Amino acid sequence: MVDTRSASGGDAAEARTLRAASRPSGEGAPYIWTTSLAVVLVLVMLVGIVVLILVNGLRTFWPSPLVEVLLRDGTRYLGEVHAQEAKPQAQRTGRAGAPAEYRTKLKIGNRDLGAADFVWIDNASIKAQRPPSDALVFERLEYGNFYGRLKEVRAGERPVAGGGEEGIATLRRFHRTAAGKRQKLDDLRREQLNIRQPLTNLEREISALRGSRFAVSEEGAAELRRLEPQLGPLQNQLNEKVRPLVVEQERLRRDLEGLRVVMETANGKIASIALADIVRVTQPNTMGMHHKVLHYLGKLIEFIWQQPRESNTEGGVFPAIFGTVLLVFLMTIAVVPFGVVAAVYMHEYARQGRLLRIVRVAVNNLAGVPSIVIGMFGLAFFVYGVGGTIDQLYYSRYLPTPTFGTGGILWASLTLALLTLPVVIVASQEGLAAVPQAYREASLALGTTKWQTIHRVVLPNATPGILTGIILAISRASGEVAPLMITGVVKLAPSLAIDGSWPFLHLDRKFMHLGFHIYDVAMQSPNVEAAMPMVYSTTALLLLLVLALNSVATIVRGKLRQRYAGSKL
Amino acid sequence: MGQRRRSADLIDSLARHVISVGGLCVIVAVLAIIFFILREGLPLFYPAKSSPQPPLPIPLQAGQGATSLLVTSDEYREFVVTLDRDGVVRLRSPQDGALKQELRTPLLKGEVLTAASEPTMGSFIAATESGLVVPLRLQFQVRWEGGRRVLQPRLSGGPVLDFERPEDPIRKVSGARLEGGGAQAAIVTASGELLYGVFNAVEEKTTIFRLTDEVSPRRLSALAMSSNGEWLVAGAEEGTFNVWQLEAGEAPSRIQSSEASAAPITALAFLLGDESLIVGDAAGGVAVWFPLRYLQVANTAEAPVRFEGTLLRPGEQQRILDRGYATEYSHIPALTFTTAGRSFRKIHTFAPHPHGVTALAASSRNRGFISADTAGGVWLRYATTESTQARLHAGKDAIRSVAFSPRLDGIFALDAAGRVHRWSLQNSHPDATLENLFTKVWYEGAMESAHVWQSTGGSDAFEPKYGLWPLLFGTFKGTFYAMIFSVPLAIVAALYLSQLGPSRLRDVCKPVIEIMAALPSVVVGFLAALWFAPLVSQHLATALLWLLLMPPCLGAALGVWYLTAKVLRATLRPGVELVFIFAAFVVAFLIASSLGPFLENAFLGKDLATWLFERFGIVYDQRNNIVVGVALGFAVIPLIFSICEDAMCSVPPAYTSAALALGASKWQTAIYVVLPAASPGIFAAILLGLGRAVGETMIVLMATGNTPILDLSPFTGMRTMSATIAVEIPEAAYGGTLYRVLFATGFLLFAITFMINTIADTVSYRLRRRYGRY
Repeated sequence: MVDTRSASGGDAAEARTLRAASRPSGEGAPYIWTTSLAVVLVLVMLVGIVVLILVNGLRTFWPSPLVEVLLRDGTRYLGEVHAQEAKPQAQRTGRAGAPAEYRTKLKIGNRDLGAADFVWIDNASIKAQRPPSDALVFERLEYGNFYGRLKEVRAGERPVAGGGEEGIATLRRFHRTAAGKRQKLDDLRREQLNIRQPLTNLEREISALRGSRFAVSEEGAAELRRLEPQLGPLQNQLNEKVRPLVVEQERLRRDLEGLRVVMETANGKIASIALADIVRVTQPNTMGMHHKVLHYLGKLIEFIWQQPRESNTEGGVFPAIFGTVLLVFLMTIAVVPFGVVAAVYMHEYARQGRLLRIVRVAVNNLAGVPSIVIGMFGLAFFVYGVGGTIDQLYYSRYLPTPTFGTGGILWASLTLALLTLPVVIVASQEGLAAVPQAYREASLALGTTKWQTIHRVVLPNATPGILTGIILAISRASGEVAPLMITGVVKLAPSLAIDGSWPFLHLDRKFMHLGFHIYDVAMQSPNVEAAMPMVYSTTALLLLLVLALNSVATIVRGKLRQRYAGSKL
Repeated sequence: MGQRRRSADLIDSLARHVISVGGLCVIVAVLAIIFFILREGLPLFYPAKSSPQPPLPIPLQAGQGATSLLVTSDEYREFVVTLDRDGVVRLRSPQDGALKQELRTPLLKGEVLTAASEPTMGSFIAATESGLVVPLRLQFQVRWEGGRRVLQPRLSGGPVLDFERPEDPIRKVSGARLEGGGAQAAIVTASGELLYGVFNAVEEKTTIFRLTDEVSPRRLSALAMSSNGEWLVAGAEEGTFNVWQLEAGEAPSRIQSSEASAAPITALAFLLGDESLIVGDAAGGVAVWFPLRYLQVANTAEAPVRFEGTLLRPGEQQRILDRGYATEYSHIPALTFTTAGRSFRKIHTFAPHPHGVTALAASSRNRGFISADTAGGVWLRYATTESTQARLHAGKDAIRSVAFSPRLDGIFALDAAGRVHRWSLQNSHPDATLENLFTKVWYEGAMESAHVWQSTGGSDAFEPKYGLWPLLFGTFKGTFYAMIFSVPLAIVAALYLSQLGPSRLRDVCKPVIEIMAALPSVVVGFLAALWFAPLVSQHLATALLWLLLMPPCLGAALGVWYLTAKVLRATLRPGVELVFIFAAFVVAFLIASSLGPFLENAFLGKDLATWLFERFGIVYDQRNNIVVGVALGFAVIPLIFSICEDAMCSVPPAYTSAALALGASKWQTAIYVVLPAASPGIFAAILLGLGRAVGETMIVLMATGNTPILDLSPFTGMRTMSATIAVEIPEAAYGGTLYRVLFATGFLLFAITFMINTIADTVSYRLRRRYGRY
């Protein structure tokens, strides 16, 4: 009895020890506990970065309140508060041991009047500070934002409204008119360009020929002699056609020139701004929540649908989105057949053995080769090699000006296809491997050929794996920048790769890209501070895109794993 | 039925062939990448190719020896051009030597005694028997006639410098044109006089300076003036040379007299850029000398001062090479530094000719030159690499004059018997050899030999510096810091999530971390460069303090936890530790962020970075190694983590169950059983992370500052191979040296990563075989 009890007591003790071992207070727990630091750090960094980007990227479009600051020396500033921070030691006036001083970063805009967009203000030097309700913000086509108060609105030479609420209402009305006229002007200009297209083409042809080696040959000279006389008559004929358009444009331009708003800055400077140059008028301090939301959505739509302005630091990123999507699309078209064929060959047809294992290792490792090296290959092989040959064969008359022998969207997408080929091959192989052998055997036992088995049984069952590979490839490709930098991405492409002129899809054109946009605006724009919101927004967009693609891939893969639980996948 | 069967079979075999061929093609294409990249880089190391053509005999004039004084050619090698004793420039066909054109100028009267060519295309200077010195210029106009190229030569001359010594024939001449139509020249006469004359185009008069008395010993045997007119060098038979620095119109000042050789100096010339002097002597020796900057250091204090290992007594002065001592010793006010001019020093010594050197010619495009000897040897050299690229032979006669064709695709040599020897030359990449890509090279203008990467410069005379060492060093420096940051974090996180923590946490965290692997590197790079780097540099003290405070805060949290655990023992669930750790983490940050500025303020009076520089001379770049290490490390953490975690999970459950059954704690099981069992996988993970970090481009491009320096400090930037490729290859001319050097770099990068990945793959393959799963 005693024995039993003691034995059971021993059991209980052992059970306690076991339970203790799995509880946080068990033996070695402090170590376990310390290792969780790594998890915390990694998670904090990951989540922190995503939150940082999303917050900074998405708040850009929210209207920020204006504040007017009066300094002790009488200077006034009107602008948005961008940051508050303790002054760096180097700029402090006090000796060692003095208390910390703070400063405020104010965005004051008015780049055309003053020097910089931003100003740092010592908090100690501020005398008064208030949020003026009558202050206006203009987003302009050029020179960034304008901050000031309305003095009067002019139509032609005569003032139609003064300051105040009423003036602002008039301003908005006239601004709408001006915006409509500007739209009309743009339409007319586009129409004029369209009409003049044959002339532009001819001129481009002639100027390309003039600079070419072909031009010094007998044949080339003859071609030029044939083309040049066509220029004059065509010019006359088209000029005749566009004359009414030109007259109309001239009239609109005169109208627009007269529509001006006179503004007063915080320091009392007077500025006259053409309404046509103003993109958006806001009065942030009086905006209600509903207006703010509308403003936000408007800006968001502008960001996604409009062209960039001010060397990419304002406006939208539509060409970059378009370039990224088209690039990835072309890449997918190129990579999928090759990747799947290679995977099917390696998994279904090739003799499994040492050689195949070596090939598999090599293909696997290719996924780890730096993207810049693949980019170099793309440059040497596609751009200079294939492109150069195409130029020699079909576009030799324009040489030395290259047509395909320079970076372009086709070469960039093929380079990316090469980069992602291992991803697709590996994932497709995994997908193929996950199809139970029994399926194949059952199908073959029914008398089908190997191809029928593959086509009807294996491939449909392997689709999720292949799909995962494709999505992973797309997500890798959409974030990749380095190889694009040497195969044709540009900071500002004059035209999209798809347009209305024949052959509609221009594979030789340069393109813009979200990732490169980030690099370019962040690292190479002359006014980085003013460009930062744009960079954050673009980053947020790219991040969301890539994360969404990856989440989809992960989910698909997870589903796949459940479906073929126990298989090798 | 049979029909259908047959067509199915047909399709089957068709599919088999298509897929086999297609699959093989894809595999071959993928594997061909490496060979293609190698193929683009390899031509860098091809030796110079030259093919001799039979010599052209130039008809002798009656009663005289060979009549030509020097030889050159036009840009397209359509003509062999000689300047002859009768003052005529003759253009001959390079095929058969047939005379094509004769060009005369009224400026050349009487016999031409000697002439020299300038490295710039088609310029000579000739001295006549009447004591006149005439700069000549031969230009070719290119016209196109019916698709054919026609060259129209034009000879112009002047201004004429009259040295007024008709009775003392000129033996050597050298000269240079000056801006604004002026010219200057120096001559050595038969009686051994050395004269320097300047023609002023404004006043239209020639000023003559007699330099004979400054030269000792006086038997001069070679003369060279740099084409920018800055230097005049006269070599003597005693093996010395004298250097004057010229200032147009003023009396030249002699700055140097140096012993160059034991044998007489027989040839002098300047390399492209007019800074490097080539010296050839009668014993066949060839060397290149650079002017180096010197400093005069003086001790103005009362006490002796230690300077560079020697003791400077009060008032003592020393002349030393200017290696930037003025800033290095700026904290010792007793030392004063004054510039002490420049003087030439022998830098590169070349393989000697077996016979005396007679002629030198510098290339007008790069640092190449030709040296020729008394026995017909014509050797092609390259100054930067100190190499002899080709040894050509032109009969047995002494060579009188040599020249490159302007496009460096040919060499012409004129021998004493009046024959012109020609070689066509293919030497595309003389400035990069396998050796000088990886060794220290003494570049022009530098104070010592060094590893330098500087591929492009402002002027044509720029000497490209292709030292790959700084790039390799930068790559591995960045990678090293990244690995230090990421490896412990990733492994420990994997260990915790896979073995120690609650499994629910693992199910959430693992996909989150893995999705992060897809975070575009341009995003990480942007944040590192424009958010993290300024943040750290502004709050350096806070950041460092945070690191320091982490252990004590963790310790404190541990203590608190022990107490809590005692009380709440039973109710604490696994995973609660995360909360405690997070709290410690935040507390450490809060303390650091308030203590950091306070300490800086109270004790330093300036921020830490400035203080470090002022106190210890430690340079703090905003985009530095710490920033790169964190950013790059961050980018590879998901990769390392996910492979480590897989490896740890694939350790057979039997192992862990056995350990636990034997009474080992969870921690003991993890450390002593799981970790060793998974170690090959962890090793593979580290290698894969390394491979990714080595090749990463955007992050390093944005966050390193891209300065190619060799410096171990964690507070400075660097330049990596990948970033260099990304930045420089769009600007590199297709097929040029830079293009090929970058491809060689790319190949190196490829080879490194491929090797690393293959090792990792092999290791993890073994692991998989051992445990027979995953």
